[in-house]
Amino acid sequence: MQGDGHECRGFNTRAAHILGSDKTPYGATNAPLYLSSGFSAESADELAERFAGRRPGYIYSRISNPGVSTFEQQFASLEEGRGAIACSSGMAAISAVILTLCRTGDRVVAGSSLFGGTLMLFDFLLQRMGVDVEYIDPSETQNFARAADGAALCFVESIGNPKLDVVDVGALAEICSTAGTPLVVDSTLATPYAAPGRRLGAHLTVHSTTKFAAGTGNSVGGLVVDTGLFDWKKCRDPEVSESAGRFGSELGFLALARRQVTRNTGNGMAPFDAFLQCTGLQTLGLRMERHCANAQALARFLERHELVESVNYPGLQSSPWHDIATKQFGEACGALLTLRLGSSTRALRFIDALDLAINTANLGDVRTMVIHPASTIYRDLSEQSRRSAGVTDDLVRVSVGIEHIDDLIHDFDCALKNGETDDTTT
Amino acid sequence: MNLKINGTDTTIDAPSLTVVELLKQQNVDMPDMVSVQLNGEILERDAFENTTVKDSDEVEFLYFMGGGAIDAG
Repeated sequence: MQGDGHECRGFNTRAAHILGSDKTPYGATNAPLYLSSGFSAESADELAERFAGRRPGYIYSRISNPGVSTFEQQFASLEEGRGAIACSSGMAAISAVILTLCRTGDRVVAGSSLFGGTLMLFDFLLQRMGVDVEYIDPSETQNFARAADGAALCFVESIGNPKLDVVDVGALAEICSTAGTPLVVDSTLATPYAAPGRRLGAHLTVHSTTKFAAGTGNSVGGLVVDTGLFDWKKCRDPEVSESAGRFGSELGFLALARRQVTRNTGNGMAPFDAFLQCTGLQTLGLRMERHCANAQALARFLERHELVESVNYPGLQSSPWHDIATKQFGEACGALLTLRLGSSTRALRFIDALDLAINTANLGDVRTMVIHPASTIYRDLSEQSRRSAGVTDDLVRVSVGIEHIDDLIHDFDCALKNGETDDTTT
Repeated sequence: MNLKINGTDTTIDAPSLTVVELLKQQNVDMPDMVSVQLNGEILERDAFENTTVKDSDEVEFLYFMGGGAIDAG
């Protein structure tokens, strides 16, 4: 700090300079990794006081860990949020939100196009718990407003995976605030770089940090961020509002989620994963810049390609969600695009003909990755769920990496042509 | 002034402090994630700046991010 009151606001500045690094042992410039299951106390009374929450300090790494806390603070800062809880995966983060805010007899309102894993959680586990899920097209705001009233929470993806529809988060947040219902936004594909959760207007955001936050596919993790925009004293759930009464209206959710859910389910993030993801987070802005620029360029190339039936990317003028995407995210419309190739056979042959792009279920990696959603992520879901999510048999999902764009275009062009050649010879 | 902080008698070399100043003076780690009770009443965060702690006050800092505070309250 120069002492002139200048506050560092640049995304990359905040990402690169880890919070609390001025207090690390031995002046370490990186957040240390604490591979310790438990944390000792100087006296029995001291440990008892930690359990009572009357003294600061760590207890046991299932519940929290100093390195994991650093990752939570760092990510919450980039989301411009109030605080965060890191979990073992993105699905674990969604589960933590559900377990904190829902109970038997409750109703959840969800966007009609969601990631396959989230759909399976909602369709199978939530129904089994006695929590009803009502799917609503988030662009139909009147229906959404009717459904939000009385719901335990509303859940949408800021950029849908793989439909790539873009939700007007600010409009939905206004509806949810009026209804007194928290709006939970999965912002994995947008990342805080495209739009910090608080600026989007979400009440809670969830992220699979396995993806762009980690960046190199070396670990699995997730996170829930409280943006500080919801008054938890007004939450319908009596335990949440009671928690807000004890810990303050801003901290009511985080306190209950930590004390009762991640503590007792053991779905928190492992220290080593937090260390890796904290490292990845430092370069999130730089990588996203290249991811988004490459995705835009590749989408434009594919849109003009004679062997491609259609391309879906929010950054393209042809996308029905282009206007809201650019309004919310500027030029950072994400790194995911999909293309349709006319038939399942052509889609599979195209994937097999790619040389550089990797055929895998992950996304958000520095390397370009592709998958055929219909035969993989969505294979266990109903035809209706697939249709709602925009998953057709000829669809290929592409997570665009940070490689040189000329190499990517060459790889895709060759694979399209080679796949076509195979098709005509059989 | 003399305060009782989390049950411990504590002397502070100042006639009064705001809650923000007290958190800093006590070197509270992650102050944004600490709840504060003053004489048994939970303080909302936006009141920290303008609420003054005076002699004989009882202050409770509540730490939950480490996983504790299960039985508190």
